[in-house]
Amino acid sequence: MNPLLVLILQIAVIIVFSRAVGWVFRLLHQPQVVGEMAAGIMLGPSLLGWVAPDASATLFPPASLGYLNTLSQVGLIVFMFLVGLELEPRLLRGRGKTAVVTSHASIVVPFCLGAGLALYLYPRLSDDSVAFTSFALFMGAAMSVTAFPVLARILTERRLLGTRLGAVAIACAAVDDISAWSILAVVVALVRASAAHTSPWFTLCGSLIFLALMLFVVRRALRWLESYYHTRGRLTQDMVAIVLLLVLASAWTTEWLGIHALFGAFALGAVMPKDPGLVHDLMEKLEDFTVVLLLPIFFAFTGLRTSIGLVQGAEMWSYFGLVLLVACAGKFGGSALAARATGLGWREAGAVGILMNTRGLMELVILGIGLDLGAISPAMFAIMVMMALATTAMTTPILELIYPARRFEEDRLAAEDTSGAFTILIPIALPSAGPGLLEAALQLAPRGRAVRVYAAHLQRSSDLSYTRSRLPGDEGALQPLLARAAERGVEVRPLSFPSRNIALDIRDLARIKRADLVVMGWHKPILRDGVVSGTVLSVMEECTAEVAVFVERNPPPWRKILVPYRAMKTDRAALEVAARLAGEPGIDATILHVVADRGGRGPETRSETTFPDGVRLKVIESDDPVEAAVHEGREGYDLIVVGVAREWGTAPAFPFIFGQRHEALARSSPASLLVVRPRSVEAAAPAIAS
Amino acid sequence: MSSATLRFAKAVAIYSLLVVPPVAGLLAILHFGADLQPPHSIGGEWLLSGAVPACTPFDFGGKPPTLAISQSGLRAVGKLSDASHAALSLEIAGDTVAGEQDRGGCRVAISAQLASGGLVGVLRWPGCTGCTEQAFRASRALASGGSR
Repeated sequence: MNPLLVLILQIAVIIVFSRAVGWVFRLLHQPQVVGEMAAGIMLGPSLLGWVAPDASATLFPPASLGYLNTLSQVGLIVFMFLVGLELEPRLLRGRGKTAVVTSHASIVVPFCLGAGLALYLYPRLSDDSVAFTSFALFMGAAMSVTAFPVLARILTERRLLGTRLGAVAIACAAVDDISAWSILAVVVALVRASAAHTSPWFTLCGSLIFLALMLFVVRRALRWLESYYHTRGRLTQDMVAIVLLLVLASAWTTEWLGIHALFGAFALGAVMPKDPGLVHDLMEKLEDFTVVLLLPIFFAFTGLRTSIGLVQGAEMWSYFGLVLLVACAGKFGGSALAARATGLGWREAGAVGILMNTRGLMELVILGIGLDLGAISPAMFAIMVMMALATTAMTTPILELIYPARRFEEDRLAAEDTSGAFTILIPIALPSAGPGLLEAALQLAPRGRAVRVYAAHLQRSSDLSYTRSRLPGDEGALQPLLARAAERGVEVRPLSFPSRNIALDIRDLARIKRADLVVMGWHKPILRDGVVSGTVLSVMEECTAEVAVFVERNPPPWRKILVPYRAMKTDRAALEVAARLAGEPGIDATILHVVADRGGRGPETRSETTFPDGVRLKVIESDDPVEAAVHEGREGYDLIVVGVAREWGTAPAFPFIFGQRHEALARSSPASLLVVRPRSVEAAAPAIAS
Repeated sequence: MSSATLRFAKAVAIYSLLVVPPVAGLLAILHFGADLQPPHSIGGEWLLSGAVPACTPFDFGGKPPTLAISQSGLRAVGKLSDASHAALSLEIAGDTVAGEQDRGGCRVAISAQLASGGLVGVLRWPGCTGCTEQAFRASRALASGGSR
């Protein structure tokens, strides 16, 4: 077959398979990268080549692997640049002795144990073409690496990044990655020098000059790029081209010097300016193509070189057990004991240990280099790949075992003082809706009580890949709300993290923060289920706090409020909210009591009473309460407050029967609409159950 | 001595404690490891010279056979360049390399010794009527290391 056709077919199969297996692993609460790594191995001789050797030989003929290798190497160069780009010096600053000692131990202990293990494995799994020093140093480096991107992803998903535990872990991972890559550069130089590829002095002197240039010349020169970025206000294609050229030049230089091309790409990423906008835009431009297309090719190429069949017999499996044991003892044990010694509790220290034990694809990258160099044998490669998979896959379940998310949140909550304050949670999906939701929330807060406001932006985790993590302070979607809060002099606590299930996370957040009220926006066009649908519906069904869904037509403050009422349980919640609002001076509230039309004469006002406190009660006979409310709502009201109920068209009914009729209130009302669900979820359950 | 100096001295002491023993340990490991004797390297591609008879499952198509060895310490997988790419499980003991492979009822066995950079040995086809034991000499087609 035409080589191009073969390559296209290979790439298509790799993408489909890696996404599918990644999706399955996500369902198992594993990072997607673990699934993609496993998918790569499955495509190799360990599974596909074993189960269907003919199909494997047709799909991956040996002559075609050169193209896959080249593509995967290009992908790795860009990926390593992104890993370096994501490393921030601020992660390392001010972390105190815990981070310093733990990061040190998390490198030194596994490194020494790895080198010590080499004493046993070298006569059994290596040969005399590799010097012991190279083998031992390589084993040390491979044991001490931590998958910084995977770790960052796990921390963000579990909302640990802004915590002491997360700070220590991320700082250690950053130090580990820099150290492991520096050690690896030395190992590569040693192996190549021993194979007489390059002179060791050339490599050593050249590397020192390269590092000096990167730190003192390139880093300063790149500030020009940062200022140009600010001048233009965006990342232009020319700037992307310049960055890519620099990445290639740096990679070429380090390859030429005899340390690996990936080290150059990583080094350039590390010295890039860390302006959040520039980093974000560069990630945005480069990441998807790399992560979706090129990295799965690398995983597949790694899988094609991994033959688990080489690990045969009790002896070989005992080597694997030993490697896994040493890997976990060194990384998990070393980090946990060091963290404990510097004052963290056993639970936190254990969590740091298991997080540091995550090796992920960084290990695969290092192992690939080792295999290419001949520093490790194919069987050793297979054993180490399995160890990388195992240590990465065990992270999430063991972390949950050691430090369950619920326990962690309870600990964090215990450290917060929420006594006495009326707590409001505002989940933000659309940044522009933030200010209106804040105003609505503040107006809904009871007078005379301290108010604590949390604004949360939850991003679907499937939209984030594993090289991108959200660092504390990266709350771009909350900026409009935070700006309004600053204008109003209100303190708002921002929360931002990826979420697997946004509705459930909002529920949990409301519970953890002991929210009295959740204020949500409703922005989507009216689809099939009406106003209360999708995430909003799920929150209403799940959340025990009072929930208010705001459909903004005109911004607060509201002066004229209408409360349609039909004596249902949820209508009482609407009345309570209206009573809170009406407590403010200058606010007129009208209760529109819609009763059955007994005479069959159509909508008709039966009575109208104004009470001394200014509240007006209007009784209307109508068989169509929604139409009655819409009709009344056109009389200059700023806000309509309504309980969640099918009768008001604010809870899902049978969409195919009633079509869009039950959305009429949200669709036709000229006033803003506030759909209220009372605090107890049981009270509203019959109304919102679909 | 001021408290700042004391703190600095304490930090230096702790850090030295963290650095010196591991570095000393690593140096000791590298020192002892230098005396270890790993198996000889046989990884790479070997050109087999010597007449090899045609044997149905091991048809070399009249070309000089090659043996591509992928070594993992004391074990290796050797792939013959016959039509069926017969793979032999090899074991290395000192200078001796031996192994065999069973395919479709016709087996191939190899036993060889490393001698002056080459392999000298015999290929046998146990159970194959009409196939006779063949002596061979093999020399590396490529340098070992990167190709294993």
